[in-house]
Amino acid sequence: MINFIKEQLAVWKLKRSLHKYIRPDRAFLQSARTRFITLAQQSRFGQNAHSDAKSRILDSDKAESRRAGVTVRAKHPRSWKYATIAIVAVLSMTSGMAVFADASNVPVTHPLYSLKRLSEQIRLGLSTPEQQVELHQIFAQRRLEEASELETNHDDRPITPESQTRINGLDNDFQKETEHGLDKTQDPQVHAAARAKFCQDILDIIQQDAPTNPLPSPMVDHIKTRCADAVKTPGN
Amino acid sequence: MATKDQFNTQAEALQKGDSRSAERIFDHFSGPIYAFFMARIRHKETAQDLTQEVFLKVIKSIEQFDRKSGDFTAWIWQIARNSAIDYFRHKKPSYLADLPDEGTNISEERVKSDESAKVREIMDIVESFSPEEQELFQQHFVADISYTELARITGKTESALRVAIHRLRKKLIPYLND
Repeated sequence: MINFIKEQLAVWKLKRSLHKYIRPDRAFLQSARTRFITLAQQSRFGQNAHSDAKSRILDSDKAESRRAGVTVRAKHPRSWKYATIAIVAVLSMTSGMAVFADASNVPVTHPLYSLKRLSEQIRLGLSTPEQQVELHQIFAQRRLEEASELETNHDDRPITPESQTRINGLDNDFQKETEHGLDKTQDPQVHAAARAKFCQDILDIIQQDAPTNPLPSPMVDHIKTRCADAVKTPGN
Repeated sequence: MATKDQFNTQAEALQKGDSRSAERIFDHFSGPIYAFFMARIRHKETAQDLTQEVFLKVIKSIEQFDRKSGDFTAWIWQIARNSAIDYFRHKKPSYLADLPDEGTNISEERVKSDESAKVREIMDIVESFSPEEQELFQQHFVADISYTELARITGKTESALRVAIHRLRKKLIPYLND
């Protein structure tokens, strides 16, 4: 009987000691209780509470992962953040390179050449009709210079078929720029003087460029015909 | 014959967002569940995290609770047990080894006292018992769960549990009288 009482007493003491050392902090219990009750109240409002609970669960998942030694990040917000940063970085770099390519007038063989052409289109799109006439003249001159440069590169050796295709393409682009410029001069907002200047400049360019890059005669004739009236009647 | 689990009604009220029921459920289960984790993991912050996790899972899954499938007491304790299992499955192997002395987190201020040393010693001894005995120790001796509740949780009869706990007690007695 005494042994039984002793055993009971020993077990009671053990339980008391365990409870003493394994009881939760009051502060922790209070905050966990508040959170639980708040979530329970919110659950009657359906979706909001559910999403909040989900975010809480996500927090607890993070805590669990932290304990497991794994770093887990909230997937969607972070991935959007990184995606936005990446898009902004790519756009900044691309626009920077395009501006550089345009400003430094890179040659046709340059890796940034396509960006230069893209930049030209953007500049045209953002300009007034009169500015567009001027830009078409500048770009037409660029095409001829690019074609001449390609030919100059082959001074000491025959032009490869690939380069010849490019030169022909640039000549066509010159003609297109000129045509677009001439079309644009018909815009009522463009003064006659601007049209005359455009044609005069284009004809000068053709003349200057003739020794190195003789344009096909029909092309030159066509430009001359379209410009003839304008040059003759600058006061219109 | 098993008595009706009073928390089934509370759980059904919780499904409707009743805060009173939430209070009762938390007040009744939080202490034992925390103690259960503490006895198993012996790390205060982890036990707190896991306890919170159990209650968050309760909110998340309360819609799925159906008294026809089982009592709420068994249901919430199953969540706690699963959380402990998940913890041990995913935990970093060296995690507990980071602790300078096992159980120091139980109560750092009193770690040097004889009483806490005794508690640690008993818990170390229990670790050498079978998993069923360990769980019974954690639930009955540490979490102080009654026979009736234990019967709900484990699905065993109260008399079977009394026998098992009596055996466990006999096993512990030699270490308690030192």
